Amino acid sequence: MLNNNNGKDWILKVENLTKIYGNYTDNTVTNTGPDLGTNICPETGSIVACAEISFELYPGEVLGIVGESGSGKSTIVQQLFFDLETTKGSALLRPYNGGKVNILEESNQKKRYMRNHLMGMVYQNPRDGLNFAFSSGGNIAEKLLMAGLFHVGKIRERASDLLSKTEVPVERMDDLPAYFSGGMQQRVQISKAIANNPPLLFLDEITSGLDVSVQARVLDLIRSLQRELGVAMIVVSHDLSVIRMLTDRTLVLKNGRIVERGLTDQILQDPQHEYTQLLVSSLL
Amino acid sequence: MATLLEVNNLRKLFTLHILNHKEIDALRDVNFSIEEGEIIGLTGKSGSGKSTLMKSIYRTYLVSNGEINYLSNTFGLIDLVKANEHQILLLRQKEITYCSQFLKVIPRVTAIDVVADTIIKKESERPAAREVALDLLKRLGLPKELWDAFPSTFSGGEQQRINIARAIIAKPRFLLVDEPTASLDNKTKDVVIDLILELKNAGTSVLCITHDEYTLNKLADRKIHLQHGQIVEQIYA
Repeated sequence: MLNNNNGKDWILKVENLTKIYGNYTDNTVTNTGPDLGTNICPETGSIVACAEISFELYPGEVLGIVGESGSGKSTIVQQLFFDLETTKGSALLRPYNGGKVNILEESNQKKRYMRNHLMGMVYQNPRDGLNFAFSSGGNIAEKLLMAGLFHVGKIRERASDLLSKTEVPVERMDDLPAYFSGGMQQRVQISKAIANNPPLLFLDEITSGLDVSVQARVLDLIRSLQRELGVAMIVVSHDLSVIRMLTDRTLVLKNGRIVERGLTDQILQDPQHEYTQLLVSSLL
Repeated sequence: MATLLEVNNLRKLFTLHILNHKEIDALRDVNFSIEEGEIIGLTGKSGSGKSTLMKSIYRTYLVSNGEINYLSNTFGLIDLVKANEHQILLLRQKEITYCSQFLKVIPRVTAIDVVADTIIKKESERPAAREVALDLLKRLGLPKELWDAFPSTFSGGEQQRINIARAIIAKPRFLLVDEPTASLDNKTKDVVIDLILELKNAGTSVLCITHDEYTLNKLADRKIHLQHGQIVEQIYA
C-alpha cells in the first residue's frame, strides 16, 4: 500500500500542547482528564485547560474542534494565535522558517510578525477582533499596515474589495463598527482577519451570537472564502451543525483532552467514544 | 476488466456506550467484489445492513474487522479500512462519491449552486459548472422556477433529484448510491436510470441500494441480497 499524500504535507503541526493555570506538579496531567471527569488537579488545585494536544493541519484543510464549554477548545487556538502563553508543547508552522522551529517559543517580535503575515483570527465577540474606536475600513487598514502595506490608495482599494467580498456595504466603510449589527460586525471582523491573505485562519465560535439567517450567510461566506483562497482553517464550535457544514476532519475535546478524532461524517454518524456518542445523540 | 473493490470478511459491530455498552451486530462475514464498470444492486429488508455496508466502504462508519481493498487511480491498491483520513478525503474528492437518501446542504445556497459546487475549486469555474448543473437539472425535470430556489423547502422527490445531480455531475469512478429512484415518478426514474447507465458506459462502477424491482432489473449486472447483516445470495442478471 502506498502512503502517498499526493505531495501535500502539513502546514501546522501541534505536539503535546498543554496549558495549566496555577501551580502544578508532574502528576497534575495524570490526575486530570476525561477518565477522571475533571480538569482540576486534586493535589494542587491547578486547572488543566488542555493537555497533550497533538494534531496536524494540511494546506487548505478545515479542521473542526468540538466539545462542551470549558473543554479547552478556545484555549488551543488562543495559544496558537499567541493570545495565551503555553505551558508545554510545540507548534511548527511550515511557512515560518520551513516549519523547523517551535513558534510558541519565539520572541514577541517574531510572534507579531507571524500574526501579521501568516495568521488570521476571528473571535466569537467582534469586540475582541475589532477596534471599536476605528471605522470598519480603519480596522482593515490597521491589519494591512501591520502586514507592511503603506500606500493609502491601495489600502482603501483592498478594504473596499474585502468589504464587498464579505457583503458589507462599501458606503459604510468609514462608519464605526459600533453602529453595525452583530452579523455585520462579524463580517467586518472576517474581512480584517483575511486582509493579509493568511495561509492559516482560526475561527472561534464565530456564529454563536448570531441569529439563524445571519448564521447561514456567514457560513456560506466562510465556505466560499475557503474555496477561493485555499486557506487552512481551524473551526472551534460547540455547534455540531456548524462543524458538519464546514469541516473535513474533527477533534472531540473533553476535560482538555482529545477523546476522539476522525472524518467529520464518521464522528457524527459513527462516534466511538462514549462522550461523542452522548454529544451526537443530544443533537436536536 | 480489473477488480475495482474487494471486500474481505467485513464485520461491523456498533457499541453504544450510552446504552450500557449495548452491542448491535450489523454486518458479519461479508465478502464480495465489484469489477470496473459493473453495477451491483444491493437488496434486503430494512435493517439488513445495506446502508451500513455502503457507509463502511465510504468510511463514514469504522468497521470492526476485515479489509476493503480498492484499486484507486490516486494511490494504487489501498485498504479503505486502514487508509489515513487525508487519503480518504482525496479519494472522496477525486474518485468515490456517495449519494445518500437525504439531502443535507448549507442553507441559503440555490439548487443550481448546490449542484455546481461539487465540481468547482475556484469561483472563476462557477459559470461553466452552472451550465453543466443546469443541463442535469433540466434532464431530471426539476421545474425551472426551482433552479435558483433553496433546496431545504423542496419536496422529497425534488430533493432527491438535486442529490442525484450532485453525485453524477462529478463523474466518479466509483458511485455508492442509496435508493436513487425512491420517491420519483416513472418518467424521472427512467432519466435517473439512464444517467447511471451513461456513467457505467464511461467506466464507472456502481453499488446501488434499491427496493425497486424495476430499477434493479434495468440497472444491476449482479444482485447481492443481505439478510441480518450477511450476504445470503448473489445473482447474475
